[in-house]
Order: sequence, then C-alpha cells, then structure tokens
Amino acid sequence: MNKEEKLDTFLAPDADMGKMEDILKTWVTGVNDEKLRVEMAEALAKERGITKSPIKTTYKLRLIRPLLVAAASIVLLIGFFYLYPSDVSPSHLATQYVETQTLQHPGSFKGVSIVNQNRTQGIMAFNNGDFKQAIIHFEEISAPNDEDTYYLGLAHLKVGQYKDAAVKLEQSANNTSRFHEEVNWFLALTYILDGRSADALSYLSKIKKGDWRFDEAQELMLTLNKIN
Amino acid sequence: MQMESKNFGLTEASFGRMVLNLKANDTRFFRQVFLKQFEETVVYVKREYQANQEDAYDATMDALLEFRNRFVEGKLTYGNLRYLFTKMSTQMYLRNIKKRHNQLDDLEKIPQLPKESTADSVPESFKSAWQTLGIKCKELLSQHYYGSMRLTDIAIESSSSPATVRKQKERCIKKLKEIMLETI
Repeated sequence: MNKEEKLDTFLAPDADMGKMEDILKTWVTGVNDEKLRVEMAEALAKERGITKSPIKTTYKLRLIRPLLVAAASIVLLIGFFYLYPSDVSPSHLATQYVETQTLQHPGSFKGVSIVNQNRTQGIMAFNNGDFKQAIIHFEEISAPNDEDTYYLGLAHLKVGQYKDAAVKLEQSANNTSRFHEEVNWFLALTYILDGRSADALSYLSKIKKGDWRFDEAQELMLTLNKIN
Repeated sequence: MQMESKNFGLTEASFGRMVLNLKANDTRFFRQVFLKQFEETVVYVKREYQANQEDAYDATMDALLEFRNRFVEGKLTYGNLRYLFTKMSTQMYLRNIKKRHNQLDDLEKIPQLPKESTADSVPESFKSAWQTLGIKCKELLSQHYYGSMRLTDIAIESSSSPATVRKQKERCIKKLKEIMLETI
C-alpha cells in the first residue's frame, strides 16, 4: 500500500480497524523517530561535541543527570511494602481497593447511537461519584446494554450493595468479554466483601500475569489463603 | 562487570528499566546510555569502512532508532548489545550506500521521480494533525503504537481501567481523523 492508499484507507468512514492499527503504527513511529533523531542530535552536539558535519569541535563532557525521580519513588514504595508487610484481613484490603479505586465512566462506547436520558444522567452521576443516583438512572434504562450492566454493577459495589453488584457483574461477565479483566477484579472484591471467599479466589485466579491488577490479585490471594 | 561492558555499562536491571521507560515513550535514559556508544560506533564505522563523518553518523543514528524499536518489541535482550549495535550500524551504513547507488541508477532511468516514493513515509496531513493533537492523546498513542505498550499496561500505569484507556484511544483516533479531514 503506498502513502496515498494508506491515507485513503485511514480516513475512510468505514475504515478496517486492523488496517488502521497498522497504518497508525507506521505513522506514529515515523513522527516519534523523527523527534528522537532531533533530540539525540542535539544531545550529541551539546554534550559530546559530535555533529553530522565533519567539523571538529571541542568535546564537552557533562555529568550524567541524576536518575529518574520516579524510579526512586518506586524503590521507596517497595521498601515501604516490605517494611510493613500486609497483616490485614482480605475484606479490609478489598475495602481499601474499592475505596481508593477511581472509577470513571468513559462515555458511551462505539456503536451506541441512541441517546438515552437515563444513561446520560447515570454516567454524569457516576462520574460525579454519586453512585446511588447513578444506580437509579442506570436501572431506569429500558434496554440496558453490556456497558450499562457493567457500570451498574460497579455502582452497586461502590455503595456496598454486594449481592446486587455480584448479579450485575456476573451478568456482564457472561454477556461480553469487553470488560473481562475489570470484571475478574471487581467480582473478586465483591465476593470478598460479601464473605464468599471461595468465589473470590476463583475470580482472582483468573487474573493472569500481565492482566490488570495482577499484583494486587496475588496479594489478595495470599491473604485469603492465609485465613482459609 | 564483564557483562555490563558488553551492554553499554548497564546492569540487567537497569537495562530492564531502560526498556520500560522506552515503552512509556520516555527516551531520556536511552539517550544518555547511547551518547557514549554513539561516538565509539561512528569512529568504528569510519575506520572499518573508510566512511565519511556524515555517512557514519547517519548509519549510527539509523541503528539507534532500530535498536529502540527492537527493545520495545522485546526482540533484543540483555547479552552482547554493544557488539550488536556496532554490527547493525555497519549494516545500516552498507544499506544506505546501496540505497543511494540504486537511487542514482533510478535517476538515470526515470526522468522525473515522484516527490514521495517510500511506502512508509508519513503524510503531511498526519504530521500537522499530530502537532495539533492534545498532549494526552499523543502520549497514549505513542505509548501504544511507538512503545508497543499494551492498553492494559497503560491502564495500570495511569491508574485507570483498560476500558477507559480503550475508549480514550478510540476518541484520540477519531480526533486525529477529524483534524486530518479538516486540513485536507
């Protein structure tokens, strides 16, 4: 595919997602490579006196900058974790996770064209942290889609209605794989908080390495296994 | 210590950190690591192939970009990176020389070459749309497409959920297309 064909394919209203992904990878790589090329050339000239042209310049050595502050923060966090090993109950941990998890509804997904007043208000309430109000609106939606069910489940979890949360999140897990990583995690938390450790373990074990919340799931499993 | 000298002075752990940074499109550490290596390689290409400064510089820069790409795609592991980098730079040098000769041959055969002939070149409309695109979108798309970072990993890093990141990505692409369509 030449440049023009790629452009036409990318801009087509019914563009094939797979092709678009390949094109975007090429283009995004192109612009970022160019940026890196410029940055590297600047650093080479400034810090090592190396330029593309054969002009000899004086070498100017500089001290390497300190390592990233972020790396230090991570070390501190890890250190803190080991200094104060988790000695809390699974439900305490699960409560912490639910309370500290920032939940945002990203708006309707691709393909949702019918504007529903209850959905709009539900999303607004959800994003304002008013989960009780969000439940009222989401439950009013006459033909809820998979997304409505999933966020309704999360809203129930946030207000402590664990049985309702479990029903909705299970429903979401059965209907779509779109939220499978999130559902595994949130259902596990729901079951811990509802006192159903075996079910919680079953969902935690579905969270594989590389999945969202893998490390936290491992920690919870460890805590659950300790008390069982 | 011997392994470190074969790997740009990096320990295996710091190599891992550099790759993680690259995936997140943070090239600062990578640039620092390659500053010294760059100089050494340019000298090597010039000496071994009697290359001029400009060609040796371009070849080393091309190798550097290819190295970054292979790092994020997990195709290069800790081992003897210094040797590989030198090898790749010489290959890039030979490739560039060959390409230039082919182009000269083509110029003799074809009276007028099209302005753009490489299939992978980035269209101007994309370049200008990219400049206009918001910083968060650029960061997300770069992490995913340039850093080969999975959306799940971006979600973990940004303390959000994969669904949110997926949605953000969809929105960014939509926005990008809109800007491009306006400028065409």
